[in-house]
Amino acid sequence: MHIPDGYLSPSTCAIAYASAAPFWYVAMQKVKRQLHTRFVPLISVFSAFSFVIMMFNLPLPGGTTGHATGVGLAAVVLGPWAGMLAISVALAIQAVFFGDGGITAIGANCFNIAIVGSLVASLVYRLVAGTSAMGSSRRLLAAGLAGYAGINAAALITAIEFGLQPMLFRDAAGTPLYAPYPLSIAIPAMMIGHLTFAGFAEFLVSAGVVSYLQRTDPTLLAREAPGAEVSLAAASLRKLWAGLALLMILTPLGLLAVGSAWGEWAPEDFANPETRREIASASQGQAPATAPAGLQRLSTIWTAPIPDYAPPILKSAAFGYVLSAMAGTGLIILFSLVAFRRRNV
Amino acid sequence: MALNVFELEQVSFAYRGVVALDKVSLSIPAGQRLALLGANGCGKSTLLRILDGLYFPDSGIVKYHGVPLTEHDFEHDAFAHSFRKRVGLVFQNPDVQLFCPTVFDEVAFGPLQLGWPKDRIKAMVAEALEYFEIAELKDRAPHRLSGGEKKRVALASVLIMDPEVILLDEPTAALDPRSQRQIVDLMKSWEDLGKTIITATHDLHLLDEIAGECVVMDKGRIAGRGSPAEVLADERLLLGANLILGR
Amino acid sequence: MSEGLHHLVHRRKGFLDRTLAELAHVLDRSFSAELLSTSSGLLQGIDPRVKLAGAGILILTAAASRSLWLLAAVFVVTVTLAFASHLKVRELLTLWISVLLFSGVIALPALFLTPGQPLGWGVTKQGLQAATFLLARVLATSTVGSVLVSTTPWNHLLRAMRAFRLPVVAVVLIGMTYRYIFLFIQTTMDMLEGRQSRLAGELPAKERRAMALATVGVLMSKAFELSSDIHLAMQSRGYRGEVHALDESPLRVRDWAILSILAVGSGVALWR
Repeated sequence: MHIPDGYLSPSTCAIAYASAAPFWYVAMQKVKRQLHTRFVPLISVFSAFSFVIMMFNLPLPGGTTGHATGVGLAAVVLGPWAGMLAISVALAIQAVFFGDGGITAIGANCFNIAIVGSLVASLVYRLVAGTSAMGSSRRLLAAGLAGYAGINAAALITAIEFGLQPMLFRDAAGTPLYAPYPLSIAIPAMMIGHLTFAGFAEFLVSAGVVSYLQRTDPTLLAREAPGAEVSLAAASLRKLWAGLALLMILTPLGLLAVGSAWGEWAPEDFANPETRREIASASQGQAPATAPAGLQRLSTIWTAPIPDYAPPILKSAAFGYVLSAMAGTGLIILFSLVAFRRRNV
Repeated sequence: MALNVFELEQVSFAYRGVVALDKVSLSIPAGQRLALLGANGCGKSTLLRILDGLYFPDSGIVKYHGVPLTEHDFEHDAFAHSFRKRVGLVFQNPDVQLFCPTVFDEVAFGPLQLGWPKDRIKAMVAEALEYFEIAELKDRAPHRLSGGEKKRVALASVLIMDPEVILLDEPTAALDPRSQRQIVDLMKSWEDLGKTIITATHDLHLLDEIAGECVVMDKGRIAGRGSPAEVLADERLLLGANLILGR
Repeated sequence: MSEGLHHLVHRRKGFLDRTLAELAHVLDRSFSAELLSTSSGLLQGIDPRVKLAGAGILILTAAASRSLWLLAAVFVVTVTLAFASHLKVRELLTLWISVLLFSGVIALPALFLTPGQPLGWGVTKQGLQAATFLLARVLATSTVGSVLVSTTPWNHLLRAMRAFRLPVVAVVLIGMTYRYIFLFIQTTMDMLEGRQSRLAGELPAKERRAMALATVGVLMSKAFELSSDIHLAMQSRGYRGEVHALDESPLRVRDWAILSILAVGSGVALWR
């Protein structure tokens, strides 16, 4: 999920940095005003916490394990602005000091995961939770969905960034210079893994920890739950599992679980021929020889609407894609901003 | 007559709904080496934080050099800086006390925040590192220090500001005997400097070395006060405060 | 992707072992980098600011390059510098293998899926080149990053960031986060190891999950408690919301010379 160096062109990276900068600035101002002198210790300690959470191998339904970013959890507990700062710092440290994610791609990774992820997660959390009681199972489900939606929004934007590369950056002979797959491959390849495994990992972490806090320390949830009464929870985890199951059913791709999150395989997975096949099918989507029929059907579901993204008036398809990608991203952000304005974090 | 550095009148404080201090009245003369004795949870850490101007009483008055301390006073840079320079607290948990990336940054933190001239700070830090025998650790991260080293860095980070009041929360807890000895020797050497040293502890065997006077605390109240010899002889007092086991 | 090959050893183990192995790996990595960065070697003797800027120039050059030769040049220069700075061959190999495995799997389908001149077996010339570009770029950039981090003590790197106009507050956040990462890793390892030793057999999936989530929950409560105590400790030493840092000494002529040569060189190489 963390984009390494070399997958995005320098100009894409520069745009990503430029897009992230105003969010960082606004977040810094807002959070400083809110936390005063507590700003530095709270954000630092929470970033360190997020960093460690990203290393957890979570046991997922179906016997696999997966990593979560904790972006949903951060948004639910700290709110979108403090959350995006904490996750950004953790991502920057991963890139610079541990080689996980590229240095030129820090802007892109922060924009996708920390910024878009936090805003979407927070929006979903507030919409679903409403003013439900602090200990209610509705709030629990809201937290899980927040994580799920946050990471999938991040994955979608990442996929769009990947998918734009071969359209915009190729040499004279038509060789893609960076990430080589067009949107029609990049989007399904990314989303299959994230709508299923990575999404569930994120759902689990947010909902699981919120359930823990509901039972032990609901005051920690109070910051992002305006209007909810602080009371210890009686909510059972059964409803959470029902929610997760519902999510799996509602996600058509979940029925076709292929292996693990695209781009999140641990190297040992490659040693296993079975897993290798799964990975191959997950990354190719429409690979000539081996793709299962179900996947092929799916990729047509995904490829079908894509040409519609480009308005017919525009001669250049690439330009249309960029425009629609930007419009999509812009809409998500705009929607989030408008929604948060009323509550004024 | 020695002037009092601190005077507490009927101070009460509750933390998250739990009463930590219950109508505590106490005066601490300048230059005294006072031990706050008590079992875990008796309120001694809370008392230190109140003396350091970090918590403010729910009711009652805390006076510093005869003047009441309020949260409002700390909103002014001049007052905050002068108080922070003159009263220093060494926290019990080194992971709380040492929050900087390296030993050097840690020791330089206080002077930098107080706005001392930057060209002087480097030399002062070097001197402090030398005094606490931690000069060779200056580029180390806190997680690469032993317990004793952490404690000395913690002391250096507070003592570099040369405070007149030093508040120590369990300075010898969780240390090996050799490091304990080092810390106690350091504390004894400050006796001649005329500093007021207030130590929260439950270590009875070091009491007569680190304190000239003891206050025994129990459940947020003051249970007794006297010289180390008097307090150690009062078995009923120590039993009541859960400092020794009954037979 | 940096999780590395150590995973190969931990195949088929549960989340406890895998998480523990990953946490231990971060500790190992930072410890070996600390040892190497404070030993003597070519890059160890260069001002961290020059190294940071130099690495930035090399990474940007690699990222912007449209020629495989230039990518190879960046790679060779970096590897030469690495050997002159006593970087272990094993460490570089581990990095390369994990990078190639990760990006290789992603690049492989591109051989077939990229439209262009057919070369046989469904592979296109453009596809082959695209895959090569991706791998070469990833290899070059990750090597530069790794060499920088292994030859520079991390706190020096942190101070070097200040020289490049990164706001003080960002540097302080990164520094404090880095410091507490190690505390959380230690706490987590203690918690997980404690549970590991108490478990006779493998737990059912549901309980494993509950255990992982409870660990995260405990960690989060600790994080909040810790942050409010740290806040008090900072205030006690005069913190008022503004962070201050010592100034750095100016760069020497030699440092400027190194940087200018590097910048001009890569500029020319990219232009051609």
